[in-house]
Amino acid sequence: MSEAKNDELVSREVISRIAKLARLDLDDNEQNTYEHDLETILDHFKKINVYDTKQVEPAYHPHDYENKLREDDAKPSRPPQDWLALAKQVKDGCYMVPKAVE
Amino acid sequence: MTTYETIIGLEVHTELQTDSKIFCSCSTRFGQQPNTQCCPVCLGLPGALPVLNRQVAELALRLCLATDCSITPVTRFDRKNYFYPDLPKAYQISQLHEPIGRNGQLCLKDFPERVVRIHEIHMEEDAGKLTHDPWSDQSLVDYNRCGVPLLEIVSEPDLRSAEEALDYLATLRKLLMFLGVSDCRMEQGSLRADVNVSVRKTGTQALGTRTEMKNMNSFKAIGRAIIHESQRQIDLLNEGGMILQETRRWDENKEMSFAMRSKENAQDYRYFPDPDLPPVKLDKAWIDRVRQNMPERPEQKQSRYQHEWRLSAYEAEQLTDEPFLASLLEQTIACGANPADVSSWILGEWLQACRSGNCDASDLSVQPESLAKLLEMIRNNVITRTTARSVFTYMLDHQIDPESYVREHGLAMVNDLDDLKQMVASVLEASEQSVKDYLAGKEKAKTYLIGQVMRKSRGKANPAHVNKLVEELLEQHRQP
Amino acid sequence: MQLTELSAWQLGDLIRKKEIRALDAAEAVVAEIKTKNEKLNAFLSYDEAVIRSQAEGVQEKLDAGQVLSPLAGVPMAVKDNISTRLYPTTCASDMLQGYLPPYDATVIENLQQAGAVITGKTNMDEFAMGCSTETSFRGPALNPWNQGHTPGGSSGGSAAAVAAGLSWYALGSDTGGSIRQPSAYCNLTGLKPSYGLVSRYGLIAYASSLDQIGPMARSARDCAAVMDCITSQDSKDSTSSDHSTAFKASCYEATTGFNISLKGRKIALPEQALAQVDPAVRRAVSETAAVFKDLGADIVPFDLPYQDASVPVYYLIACAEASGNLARYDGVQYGRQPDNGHEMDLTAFYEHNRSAGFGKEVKRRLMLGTFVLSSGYYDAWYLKALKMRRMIIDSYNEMMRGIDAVLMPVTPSAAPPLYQHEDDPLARYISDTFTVDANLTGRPAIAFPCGINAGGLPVGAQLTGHLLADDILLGLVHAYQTQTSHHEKRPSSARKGEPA
Ligand SMILES: [Zn+2]
Repeated sequence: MSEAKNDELVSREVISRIAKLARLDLDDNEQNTYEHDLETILDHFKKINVYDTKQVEPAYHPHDYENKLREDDAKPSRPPQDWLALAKQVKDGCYMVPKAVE
Repeated sequence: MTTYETIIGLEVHTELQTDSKIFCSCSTRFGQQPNTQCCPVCLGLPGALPVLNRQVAELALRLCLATDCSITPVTRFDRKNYFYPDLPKAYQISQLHEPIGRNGQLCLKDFPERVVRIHEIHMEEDAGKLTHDPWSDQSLVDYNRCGVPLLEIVSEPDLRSAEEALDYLATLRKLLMFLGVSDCRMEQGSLRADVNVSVRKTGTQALGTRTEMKNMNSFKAIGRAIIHESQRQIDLLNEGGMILQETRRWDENKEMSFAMRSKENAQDYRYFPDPDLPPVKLDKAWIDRVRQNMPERPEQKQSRYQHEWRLSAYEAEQLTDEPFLASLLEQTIACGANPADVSSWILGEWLQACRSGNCDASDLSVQPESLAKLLEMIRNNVITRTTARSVFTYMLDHQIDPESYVREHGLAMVNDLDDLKQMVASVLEASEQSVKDYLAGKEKAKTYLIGQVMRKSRGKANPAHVNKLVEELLEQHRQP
Repeated sequence: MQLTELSAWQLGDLIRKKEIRALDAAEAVVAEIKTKNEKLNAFLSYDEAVIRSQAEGVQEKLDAGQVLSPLAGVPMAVKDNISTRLYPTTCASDMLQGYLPPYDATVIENLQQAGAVITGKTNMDEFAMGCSTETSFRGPALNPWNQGHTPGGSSGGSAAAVAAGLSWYALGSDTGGSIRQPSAYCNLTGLKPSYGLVSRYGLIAYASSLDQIGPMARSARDCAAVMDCITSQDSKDSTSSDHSTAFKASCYEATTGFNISLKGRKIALPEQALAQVDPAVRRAVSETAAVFKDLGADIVPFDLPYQDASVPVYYLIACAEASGNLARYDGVQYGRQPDNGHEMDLTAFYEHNRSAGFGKEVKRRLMLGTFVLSSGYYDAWYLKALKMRRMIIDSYNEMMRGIDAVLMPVTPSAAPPLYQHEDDPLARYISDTFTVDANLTGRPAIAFPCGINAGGLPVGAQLTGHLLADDILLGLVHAYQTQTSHHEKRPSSARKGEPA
């Protein structure tokens, strides 16, 4: 990608793309701040690259677990009002959201 | 003119036949009131955590073994991140890095030379259901389907025509149903297929740019969408155009597909291993256990029916068309009925009853034990086939024991020769013209007379006896 | 006798022996909260009526002869990221204002079974992202030892409440030091349990593979009693440990007998860590080592593995997980929801809700986490961090063979003044350097008071132990606390009835 020029780790373009992905609407000021912050932070963090990890298995969890499974028993659900009461926009027992079009 | 070859790969999603959801104990039952099968886990409420349903892994293993996949020894779940209102956590728990099975295959039925390679099979959770509310022009969300377990079966691009694609789907569907993995009801969305289509000049090797077709909700629509899309691509290439890699939505009413907005085409799902779910170790003992308890596959049943029960190839194929028919056959035979009798009754009377009632074979509520009793009464000359038919019709709506029903309603076959002789004589007496016709050489008249006798007996007369007596008495008329 | 000056364990004892009633303890704590909380901002929510009715309920059970737990009837506070039906649970975020969870976290169910009286929900950094409670939507809590200073974070409200005498103990959560650092800043004993020992069900996730709920109290003995109440093997949490039941037994043992000999115990002291901290901390930790030595333990040298990688690896993983965990806050189902949602298109609706609902630090971490997972950067940052995490775990396993615990500072200094590093996120992140390893490795770690600096602020030390050997850590600190009185010191503001 042409986004990172020279030794720059994050560009303004990247920041704006990432904000879109995270569904954050950032104004110019915020974009500047986060571009600067991420650049500073990642510039410090890149020192982990001195360690060779080629042969290393990634650790997804702090320790190893065996299969934690539940049996296939269906239990009765609580009344939908228990959850729907938390929402502002409800119609016909459904959550209402802006039109999702395809 | 250049000829083109169509290259097709399928991504099939199938809902698993479990009682509870993949990561919580909510019911998976279809067609309930909105949001009545939900809990903090499937609603993605803050702090709720997923716990894998063992049966999901078992059923996935079953399909992997049946399609010769290599099983991933330690399989993991990943989060697929995207924002959409049918996804309450804004991520779907799926498998990207370590799917449960890889490198399998499936043989087609009508294209025996075609072995379709299966790229991978993975487990994931279904999303909720969105409907459009025209009054508010907003969308309504029902999370009942959210968290229903799914398997995604991804084929390699090994199919070359709509017919092959449909054969693959039919074969896979049958397999899924016989393995007890899914009920594959397309109308309930428990079987869905996305199709990847590309074309290339015949004789070339490199794959063309592919498009992904979505939103086909019947086999027919899938067939049409493939034909339409491959033609669209060929036309475009012939006009000197270029195929764009895109997702297209099939509109069955307009019989056309439309490119989906480019936003959906440029997704970055940021998959990463779900830290809430430990890996699932599929050790040899577990795999062996699943292998041992593997239900019989349709083609195994078919050959067993032919060899063990001497059914014809045609019958065996028909009876393995869906698991219900096969299990009805097997259970009825297990109750002591003769295999040939059961087979002909199911393929004849049973399916006829479904056609006239416009219902599925499994909708008829006659129990195998009752059917076996009915068939044994025919075989033992207790009732005639005609009687059996009417008893069966009655059984469709009533829970009865066919034996006592026949006894109580005096439906047993009339075998008494004197009684029958009398009956025949009185029919011949009343049908002078037919007797004359017969004596004049019209064989058909005899059939008519036999029919009259059967009718007089209300179907209960022993047909073999009637046949013999009619012939005897007619001969007596010839030489008075 | 001032009730609020007793330890949780002592108060529980008095209630069990019917020398005082649960309601008396409740009234005492309500009075303290009412006088002091407005200033300290330790509680985000509490409810006098709810407190009294819980106390009466527990008393009824006790009067009926039910055996609940050594802490039955003792009022306690819960960090605001642990789901409770009794009180709103907001993670100190605008995003979750008014959210009343429709279910209780497993730890809450466990506490209620044990007869706990839950006084309210404590202030914290927004979604536990911070080290000072400065990122709280409701403003920071103050340090009872010096109100110009931070109580630490993210469980700063819990620390302030216990230190100021507004609660006998509290639950915190620890993702990178969020129990231990505020415990150190407020002169408390706080345990980050082994990952999996305490159920996370109902804990609103920051970083799922690092988060753990734990106790913050006035002594190791109190912490042990709390652990006995909250630990359970939970079928609702796939990362819950099978060992929990066994641990409960040994913990119970510890809260009753509780006296382990330190003969033959080996405690490691990494000199390199001491070199990085301010002199008061260095002196206090060295003196702590000396006390352990006097108690019979061997003090051995130790090198912290990949120490410069810990903070980067921690933040890369935590922020990546957080970007997924916090994606669900979109204004559809609960919490902050717009009135004019129908006027927006779907993407604008999401962007509006999330931009308005999250604070600055949360957005910063979501940006970082989204970045390291995004296409083209995953391998270089996220996957690299996961591999480094494996190397750190393996090194600890290797280096801690034969060693019972590693003794370290909790933080480089005592509690800093409020808003010291407001505009320097990196400086704040780096101050987590001694605490994040326990989360990356899943190991238990306990912070405990070991002195007061010249400015009158507490200094803490930390022991990191072996996985699922949390009882050993509690025992070591208990032994230390039988020989020292640092943990008994209270801020002057904690005196009963005096306004904070
Ligand atoms: Zn559920």
